[in-house]
Amino acid sequence: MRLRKSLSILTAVAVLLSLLAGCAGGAKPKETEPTAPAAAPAEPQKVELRAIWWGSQDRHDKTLKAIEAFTKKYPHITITSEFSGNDVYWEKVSVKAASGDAPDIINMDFAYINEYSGRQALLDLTPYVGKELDIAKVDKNLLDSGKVGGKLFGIPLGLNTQAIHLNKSTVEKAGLTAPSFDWTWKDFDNYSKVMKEKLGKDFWFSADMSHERNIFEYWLRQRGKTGLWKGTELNATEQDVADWWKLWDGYRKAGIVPTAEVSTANGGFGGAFEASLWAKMKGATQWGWSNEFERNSGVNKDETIMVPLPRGSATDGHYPKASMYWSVYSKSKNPKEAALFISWFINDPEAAKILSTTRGVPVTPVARDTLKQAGLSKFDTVVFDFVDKVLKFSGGTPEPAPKGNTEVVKVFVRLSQEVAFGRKTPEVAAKEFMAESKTILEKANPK
Amino acid sequence: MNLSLRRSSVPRANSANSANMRQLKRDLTGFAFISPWLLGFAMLSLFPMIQSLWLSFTQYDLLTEPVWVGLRNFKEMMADPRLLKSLTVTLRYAVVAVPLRLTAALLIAMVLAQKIKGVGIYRVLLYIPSLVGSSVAVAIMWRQLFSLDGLLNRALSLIGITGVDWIGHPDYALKTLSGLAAWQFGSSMVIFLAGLKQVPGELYEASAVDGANRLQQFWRITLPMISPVIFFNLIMQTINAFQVFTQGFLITRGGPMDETRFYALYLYEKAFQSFQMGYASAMAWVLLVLIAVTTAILFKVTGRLVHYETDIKGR
Repeated sequence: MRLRKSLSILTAVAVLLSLLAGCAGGAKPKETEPTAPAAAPAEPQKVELRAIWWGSQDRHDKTLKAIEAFTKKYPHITITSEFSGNDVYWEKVSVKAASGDAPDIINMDFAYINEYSGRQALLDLTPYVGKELDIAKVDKNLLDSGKVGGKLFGIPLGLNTQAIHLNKSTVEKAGLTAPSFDWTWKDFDNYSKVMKEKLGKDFWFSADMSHERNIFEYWLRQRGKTGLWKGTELNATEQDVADWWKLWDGYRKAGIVPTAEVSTANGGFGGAFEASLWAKMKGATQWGWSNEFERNSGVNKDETIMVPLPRGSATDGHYPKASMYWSVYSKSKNPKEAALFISWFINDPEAAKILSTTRGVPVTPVARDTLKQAGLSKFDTVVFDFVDKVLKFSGGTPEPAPKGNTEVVKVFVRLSQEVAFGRKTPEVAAKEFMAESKTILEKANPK
Repeated sequence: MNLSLRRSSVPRANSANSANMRQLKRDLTGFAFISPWLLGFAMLSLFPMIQSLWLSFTQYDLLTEPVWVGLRNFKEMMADPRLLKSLTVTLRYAVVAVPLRLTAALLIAMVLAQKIKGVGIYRVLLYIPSLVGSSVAVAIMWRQLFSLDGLLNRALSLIGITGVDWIGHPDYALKTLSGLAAWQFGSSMVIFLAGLKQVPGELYEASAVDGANRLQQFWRITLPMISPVIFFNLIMQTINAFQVFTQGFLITRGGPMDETRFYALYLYEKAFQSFQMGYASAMAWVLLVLIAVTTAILFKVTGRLVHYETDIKGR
């Protein structure tokens, strides 16, 4: 009896203590050193910022160097950085934000800007424009893509366009000349057929791209639509989706695009770059973005060039895309210094020299000119040149993706796989896709 | 009258009080010793469990405050086809992995229970796979070995068989993962070993005298005598199998087409990738109930088959 009494008292005390500890620990975010009050003298208080981004090792190295340069210029600001590969980046950020402790400066993407700003995780940077944040020279189109509901949530860091990276040598080995900037889907058919005939069963002109939402959006734009999203809804019809999957199903059945089995074994359906046909030198092309040129060329010693996606429609599908953004965490204790860093990052000539085109073509003219004057590397020259050419015939930027879009895209990838494996016909899968995406978007964006 | 009562009652009260005090002191000392663990348990296990139970009745996207929605998550779960799929996948995995693992563990334990030279080293060597079994490095290695152009298929091609993509093809991915589970037999094996060692040798000797052969000895002596151990391992491995996550996450990432989307993996996706932590918490508690029910069923069904040394049934 006594034992039970003491036991229950102690357990109750322990539980109470833990509840208190848990509540107290969860509510307060980690304190960064506070900035000095407004009436500070010329000697600024020390400020600590945290930044997080994703990318390849090359980008990490360049960004760290850039941060070093920034710290030299503003010695009172120290920046601790965290970075990761792309595959777990978003889980990291969301968990950190959940504990109220996300880094001040967050690498943001078009697809997620609504997910985060719509959940009050990002800071509206409009109050800092013209003061710490100088965005006067950034292209308006690019800048608008970082705005949601008129508020500025992301500052674009680079200019990209969609591109197909192509192995010129292999194409020529098959007796063809490299595609011109005006090539069409018909030409794509032809290239795929010829290369299959000439280079055998283990080689492909292109991987299966039926799951890739960016290319689907491009193809939609060629049909006259502005983009994949309209407000909080999908801007594609069931017929659009069915036709898209029928297109690739046709290619698979004709044997000019890998079967589902071959694709899954070679990084298909969103797998790792290192496992892709391109990286294994079994594919002549790699669909992607203009800023991936250096990484993609590095795969082998053959000559790699960039061509636009197949064209030939009344409306062009290409558009200037902000490769990614810097956003500021809504609960950041040092938003002014964060804005200062972002401003320096896109405007300062030294930053431009260090970063070159790892995040795309620089967004301000002063940065672009600095790079050109400093002498572009051979990769950067190709990228600058390509982006310039493509922008000449590009259309406007599509609308940003709404909340819930990441889940919709997952459904899109899964159903693409089911069509590829022959489990569902394109029509049935399209119907399912429309129904599921509607449910997801309505749940994420309640009226 | 009163005086005598008082006089007789006082010494008894004193001794009772001091006995109380001594007992309380002993209890407090005991609790002081386990207080680190108790505190840790309360903060790291109990409190999160209570919080997760609360979250399961909310909609929580990790970035904003949780919003109470009552039973909505549970209702949604019942209409979620991917949830049902993940449950089916997990059950199909468990039904293959658990017997496979237990059989492998028992067979190897029987081999290692013999008194051969250097048996200690063999035990260590055979236990090592379990230590690294669910590690990242091994998972990546599996991915290499079993892919379309991996080592296994190359070995098969030497004897003229064209292999398939063991982990990329929807028909084979789950089967491969279930088979791989057998490789992590270590912990069960150690427990089986201990159980086997406890079977009195005289039983075997007596049965040999009576003319029993090895198979009869196994069936009539070994199995019944280690049945509590088998039962324990069965329960533990079943509970484990329901929570399988690492292999699905690292080797196949739930693919292709959700064919290896284990329940825990789907839960992870909902919690950390789809901004639906409330739903994921509901999933976690449903899993708890499922495991409890399954364990209860196992107790009921196989309980009678377990023979304990202390039972003197039918003698």
